[in-house]
Amino acid sequence: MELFSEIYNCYYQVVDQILREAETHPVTKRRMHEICGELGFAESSLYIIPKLISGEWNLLTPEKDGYQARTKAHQDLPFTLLQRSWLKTLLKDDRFRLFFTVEELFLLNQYTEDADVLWRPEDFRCYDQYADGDPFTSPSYGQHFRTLLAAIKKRQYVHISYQSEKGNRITHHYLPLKLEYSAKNDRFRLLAVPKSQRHSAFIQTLNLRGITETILLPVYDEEDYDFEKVIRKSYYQEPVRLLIKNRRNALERTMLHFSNYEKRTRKIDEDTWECLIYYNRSMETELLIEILSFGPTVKVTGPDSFVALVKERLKRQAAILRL
Amino acid sequence: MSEYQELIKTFQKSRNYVRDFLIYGFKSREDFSAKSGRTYDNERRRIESWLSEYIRTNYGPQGKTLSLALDSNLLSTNPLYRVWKSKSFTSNDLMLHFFFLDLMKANVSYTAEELTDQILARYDVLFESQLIRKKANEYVKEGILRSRKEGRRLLYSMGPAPAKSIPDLLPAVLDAARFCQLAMPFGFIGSTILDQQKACNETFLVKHGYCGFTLEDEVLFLLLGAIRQKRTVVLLNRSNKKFRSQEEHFSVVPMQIFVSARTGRRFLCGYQLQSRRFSSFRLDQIQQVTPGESFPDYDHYQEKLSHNLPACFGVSFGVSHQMDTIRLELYIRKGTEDYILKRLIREGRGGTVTRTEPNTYVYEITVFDGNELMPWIKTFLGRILSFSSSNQYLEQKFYEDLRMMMEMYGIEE
Repeated sequence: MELFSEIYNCYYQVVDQILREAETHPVTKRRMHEICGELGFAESSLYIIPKLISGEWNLLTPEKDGYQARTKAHQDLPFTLLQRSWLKTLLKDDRFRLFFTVEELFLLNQYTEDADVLWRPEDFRCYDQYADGDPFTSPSYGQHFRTLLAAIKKRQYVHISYQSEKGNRITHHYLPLKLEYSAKNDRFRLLAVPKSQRHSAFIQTLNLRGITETILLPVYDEEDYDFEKVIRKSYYQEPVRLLIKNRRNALERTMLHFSNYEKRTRKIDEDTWECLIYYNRSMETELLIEILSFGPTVKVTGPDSFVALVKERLKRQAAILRL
Repeated sequence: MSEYQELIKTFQKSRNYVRDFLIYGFKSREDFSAKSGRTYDNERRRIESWLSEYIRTNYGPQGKTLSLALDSNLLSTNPLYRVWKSKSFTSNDLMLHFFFLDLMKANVSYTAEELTDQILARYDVLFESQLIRKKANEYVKEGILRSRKEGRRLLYSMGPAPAKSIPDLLPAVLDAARFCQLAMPFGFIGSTILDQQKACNETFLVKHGYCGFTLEDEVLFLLLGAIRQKRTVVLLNRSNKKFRSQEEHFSVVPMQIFVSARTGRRFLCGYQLQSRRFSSFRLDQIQQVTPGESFPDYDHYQEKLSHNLPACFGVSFGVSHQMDTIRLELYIRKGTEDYILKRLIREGRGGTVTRTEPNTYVYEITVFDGNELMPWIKTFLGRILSFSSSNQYLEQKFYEDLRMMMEMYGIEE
């Protein structure tokens, strides 16, 4: 069982699609280029198309209007042992089990019977995950999860009752957009637009465990929703500007720590680097305390509003220590 | 001199380059001095091709630098999985793959010789039957083909595609794969399931996702295999301290994989045979894993580890036999700042939290290596009433860091 195998190579995906189409009608070179662009790497067409056309990969026959496949309706690849092993391993994970009914879990167990697990849950220890993760095994939690998943896929409005962590109760009609999981918090959150604010750039975040009721409504959203554009719009124009002194291996630690943010880094001198981190309001507090955790090895130099946040915490600290 | 290819034979070759572009993003051609300039040019061209839409080019005093611009909060899949989809192959590999899929679709079985004849008759391509047998046996190992004996004949057949074998289950499997490819170990396997089924993820996002982890999956795969088989391994480890690579070999009994959800780092926790103590090794620094002999005392050391883990705040087992006790006194206004108290409890990893006065809480913990708590403690700046430790060095370091931060931002103490 190979992890790095040509079976999963994107060239195979490209050729699979070209053959699939060429089995029903001649495929032009232009269409082959399109498929390479969709499924391959940037330069894949330079390698794939000449080999198909020259017959070095003897899978196509030239016709008047293009190229016909030598294969006739080839079948889809069955799941490989590696893929079945991965699914079988995940059967022990409560988050994975959320997607299935009891009957489906039984069927999947049968389907993956011949595979070995790749790991056992106890082989991993996530030492800094928060202790109060979501109740993934709760039947009502699972029910809400599946209802919201169905609604996102069908772009269907949902009646949601919600209780926030502060105890506020909200009942509203929402268009669910995405389910967001945080490994750190071990929680799912729903990103949704309230029906009354459908055309604003406002996305609300609801903790899944705070949701007490979900009812699918017979109302569907027909318009496009550019989720990424809305999120990108929420980013501050000016990124956080950090100066990193390479003491205590700080450069590598910061680069790894902030690798989940979009960032730009440049060397200022032998011992100093500047790193720009792009963020929005919802990330601000988290980013602030993450930066503070690096102590004096990282200095915030901009924007002024963010520097003020750091200073405010330090001033408070200075005042306490004077007491 | 070999011609440039977009595909690669071994994963390891490109792993460190991709990692450096993603993690650092400021290294120029001169900084990659370990290999020749031509190797760098080829690797850079390959990475540009694999990850074209995420590449950003910058020009500065150090020359041209490449970086990967990824905002993990917005990704529907991990772009670095593309590295896993770049394994080179021969023309025969590719042709036989599709001939097998075409020939064996109707639940038929063939011997290698029959397959050779069929391929010649239907596609006009002549292969050695030995080559076909070799490929068919490879596919049996991958679980794509099945083999069975009928008398002296070895017959090969193919199972049905998922859409036929599990039609009712497949939609839920794909939904689960959409999520798990982002959030679970070996997520790239999930992404190959989506590729094969022509599905993509428009439903799930992962916050605090770290793309780079997938580059360690080959190492992880070998380590998990050794854990399962209770074997020793020899690690070739390269530490990056001060950018001076130092390669060392370690003989280790692998026990568990430690994962940080806050930084995405993964470590092997194992029993070091030479120093006879538990240690942790960063997976991204492990260059090579060589499986060794089975280790008869495995269960005994597993038990010892489980006794040690409660005193392990992160991944360190400490450098001395002395334990570090940490005491942190915090100002938290009851009612309005309960979220801070919640943070202390849920992030405190077993430390005790006691209310000593109205609005004053004390967090205490005893661990192998108190140094691991220092970054976390600084996240409470602004409300730390006092910090003390049985380890004088930590106490001095805390107040010294604080003094330096005040000075750095021009705040008078």
